[in-house]
Amino acid sequence: MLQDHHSNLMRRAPALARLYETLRADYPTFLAAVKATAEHEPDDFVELGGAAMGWAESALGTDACQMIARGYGYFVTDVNRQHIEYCLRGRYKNKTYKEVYDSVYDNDSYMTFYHWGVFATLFLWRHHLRLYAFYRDSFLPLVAEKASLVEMGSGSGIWTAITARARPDCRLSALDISKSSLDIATRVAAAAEVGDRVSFTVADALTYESETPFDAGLSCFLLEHLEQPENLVANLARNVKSGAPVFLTAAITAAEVDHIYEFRNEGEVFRLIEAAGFRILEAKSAAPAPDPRFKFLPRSLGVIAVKKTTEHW
Amino acid sequence: MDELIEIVAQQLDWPAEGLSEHSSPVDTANWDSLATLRIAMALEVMHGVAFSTDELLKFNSIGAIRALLEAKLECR
Ligand SMILES: C[S@@+](CC[C@H](N)C(=O)[O-])C[C@H]1O[C@@H](n2cnc3c(N)ncnc32)[C@H](O)[C@@H]1O
Repeated sequence: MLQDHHSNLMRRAPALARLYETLRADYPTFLAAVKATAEHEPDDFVELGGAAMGWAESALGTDACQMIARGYGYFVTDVNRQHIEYCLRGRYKNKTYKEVYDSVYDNDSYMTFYHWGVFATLFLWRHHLRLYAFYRDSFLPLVAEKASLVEMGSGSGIWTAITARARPDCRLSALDISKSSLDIATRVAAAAEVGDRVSFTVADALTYESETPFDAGLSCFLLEHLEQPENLVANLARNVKSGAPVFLTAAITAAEVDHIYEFRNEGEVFRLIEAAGFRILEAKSAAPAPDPRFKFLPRSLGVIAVKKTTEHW
Repeated sequence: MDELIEIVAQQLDWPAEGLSEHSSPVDTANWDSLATLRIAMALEVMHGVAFSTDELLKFNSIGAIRALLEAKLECR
């Protein structure tokens, strides 16, 4: 049965099958969750996991599977630890953006593992795959033909590559405050063969000002990393045209080493987005299976909104 | 009954008789990454030690955990 599953995966997505094998051999404690993802979301798992691991292998060479399995192992272990502590403490560790910047975003060796870990969660976590499907099926069709998009906090560049691959007619400007993020994202974009339509800039998403506003925008998993997430949404609003569709994601009651802003429910994120001048069109809240031993259910929320064209309430 | 096996059994909610030195997350029900962390935390409390993330990533069987724990206890 396992053998069948593996040979099937090998045929459909060989790079993903190699990662699966690395996890089984060297990081078996993470296998159960990945197996569940593969079983419950087989097509999206192969579609995104196969593509992303292909990019990772051409960006990282033969070390890719080890690098990603290890990055994923570090990331998940940290997430688990933080979540256990958070459920006992009842709030995120009281960190400032400056502390996180110094210990995380400005730390090259940490950032590399970190990014490959975050990169892998998008296709190894079942609830993140559901956000990917939501983005592909509900957001991308709203983006106008030949649109220009801005991406704030592009990290490993996985959303950048997904977008540019899915929409060969569009151009993207991706920003990140961390130079090492952009180095990885540049390699991922080259591996995904979209480098000619994507530009990467080191910039602070809170203050960045484009000369011409964009036709659409996205920012994934940055809100919860900020002391004042409303400033990000406000600046996104400033940098896109009226009527522009935007896609935002946020982590809710999900503690991680660099999560500062604790969103307690979906409504808090909606209100923040609305207050910046957007109208919410659709949202998807995705979570792992609830574990009754934990007080909080960590979840990831994806929101599709448009910048309002009139001054209605 | 062996203390380590008892702890693992308790954290996995699985009968201790069904576990051996070779039991690993690949062939043991309920053994996921959270269970690994809970096993580590139980050992940390019981023995007053602390495991790093690198060490946790080597918790790949009961035998491997025993070796890591013994090495830690010897260092004290
Ligand atoms: C959790 S990662 C998410 C990356 C990517 N969007 C994803 O979903 O995989 C957050 C990213 O935001 C970047 N970042 C943090 N603060 C920022 C800021 N003020 N402006 C731009 N980027 C920022 C970090 O360097 C990091 O790459």
